[in-house]
Amino acid sequence: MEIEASNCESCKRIIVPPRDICPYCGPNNPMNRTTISNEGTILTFTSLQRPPEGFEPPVLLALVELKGGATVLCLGTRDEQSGTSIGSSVTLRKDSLDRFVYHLAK
Amino acid sequence: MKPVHVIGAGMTKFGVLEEGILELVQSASLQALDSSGSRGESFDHIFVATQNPDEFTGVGHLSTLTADRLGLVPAGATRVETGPSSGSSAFEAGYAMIASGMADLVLVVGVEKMSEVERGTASKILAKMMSNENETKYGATPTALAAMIARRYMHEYGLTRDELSLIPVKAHRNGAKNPLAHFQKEITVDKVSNGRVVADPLTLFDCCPTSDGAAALVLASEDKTKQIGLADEYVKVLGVGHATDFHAVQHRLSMTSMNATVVAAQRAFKMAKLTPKHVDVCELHDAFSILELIDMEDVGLVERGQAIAAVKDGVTAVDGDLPINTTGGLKARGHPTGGTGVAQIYDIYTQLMGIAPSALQVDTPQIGLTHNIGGFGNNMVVALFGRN
Repeated sequence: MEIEASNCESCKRIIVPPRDICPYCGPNNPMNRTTISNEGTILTFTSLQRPPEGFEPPVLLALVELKGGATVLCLGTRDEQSGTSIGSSVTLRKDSLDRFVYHLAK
Repeated sequence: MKPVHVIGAGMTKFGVLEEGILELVQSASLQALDSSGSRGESFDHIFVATQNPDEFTGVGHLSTLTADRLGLVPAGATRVETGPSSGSSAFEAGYAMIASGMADLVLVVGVEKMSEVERGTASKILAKMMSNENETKYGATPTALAAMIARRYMHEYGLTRDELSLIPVKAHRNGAKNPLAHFQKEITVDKVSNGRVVADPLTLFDCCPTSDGAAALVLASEDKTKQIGLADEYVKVLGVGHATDFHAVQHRLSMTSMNATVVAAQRAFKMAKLTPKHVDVCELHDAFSILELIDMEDVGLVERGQAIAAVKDGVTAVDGDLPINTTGGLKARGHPTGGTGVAQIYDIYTQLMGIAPSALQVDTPQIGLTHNIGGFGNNMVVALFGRN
């Protein structure tokens, strides 16, 4: 799976999800649509035991830095809980609610 | 810009309270009017800071409602909202109005009444300040984001769980001596470290409560201060800085620093022509224990990664060289979101006036600083105040 992103011509940063205006450079700089790899590394994570209404605890969350440069928040499944650590290699997919879910690389 | 003075301040107790939102507004405001001798004066403007009274209490339009309730019609009245930094943003608006010459006498009141809804509902209301697309729809909460920041900070700087627990322990030690604090009971490192996990590595005792409460300030021009007859019973506003960061944590450039604090502090210090070395007492936004350490570094009070060393050395205790959150901070004083920024200024006002609770009074501080976070780390106000 490839991840939809945008690329700022000025600062070269990759933004996920894609935007029309670069949040770093402002509206005077062209943004181009692109796609990046779904492979990345876990920067940090938590297991949330007291989520808001509508979520069942624990909710495993991780910030993943993608190889393409952008960082995204992802959900983890219960299977990933014990093996997750800072620096773990992961691949992302999307769930039915259009949210990123990470899986530890084999 | 014209000089602006804080000539009076008031604050209700924070906690789970019987009083409704308007009673809290009235109580804090009347205290502020009485402490400044401005009952009976004609106010030019009222700024009301509140994050989401519509959903927390069902009461809206607090601007006119406050003017009417306090008998201050036809003063101008504006509601200000920047999330949990609403209080500081309202103060900033009041400051600017007097500094520009548009007004001479302004009432700033900050309030939130959060206990009328269930905790899960409160959590859902508060989560609206986060990015829905990138955070809220994943089930993330402010605590979850703080937990991820804490884990990354521990990874980069070697902070331990028991070291982090020193922050809530200090907050409760101070809160125990503050009659207005939500929590007035001391806790131990063991209790914090081994408390119920909310989002690992953070436990219940790393997180501030949701509270009811209000605080108020009376701001005045130099002429108005004299006219009211105040000789030297006021605190000077020396600098105000305000900055934003990217809405979602994932778009920020650091995971262990909050750039909005860095920029807001730089702006405030530049305006005041001061440096962090001049600060004698601080109120920092410690909604989560880890934030107090990051705030200290971002404001420039200590070097990166060195905050915990200062805490362990007692530098940030009431009797230390740089007392931080002498009244318990958000953790123990409590956090009625719209009220917090104004309460921080109330606390610095009492410190600089020498009228803080005696066990919490710092020895003749000259310069005080407030730092207030809005959103999850994306809308910050830093202000500097001077003893007269």
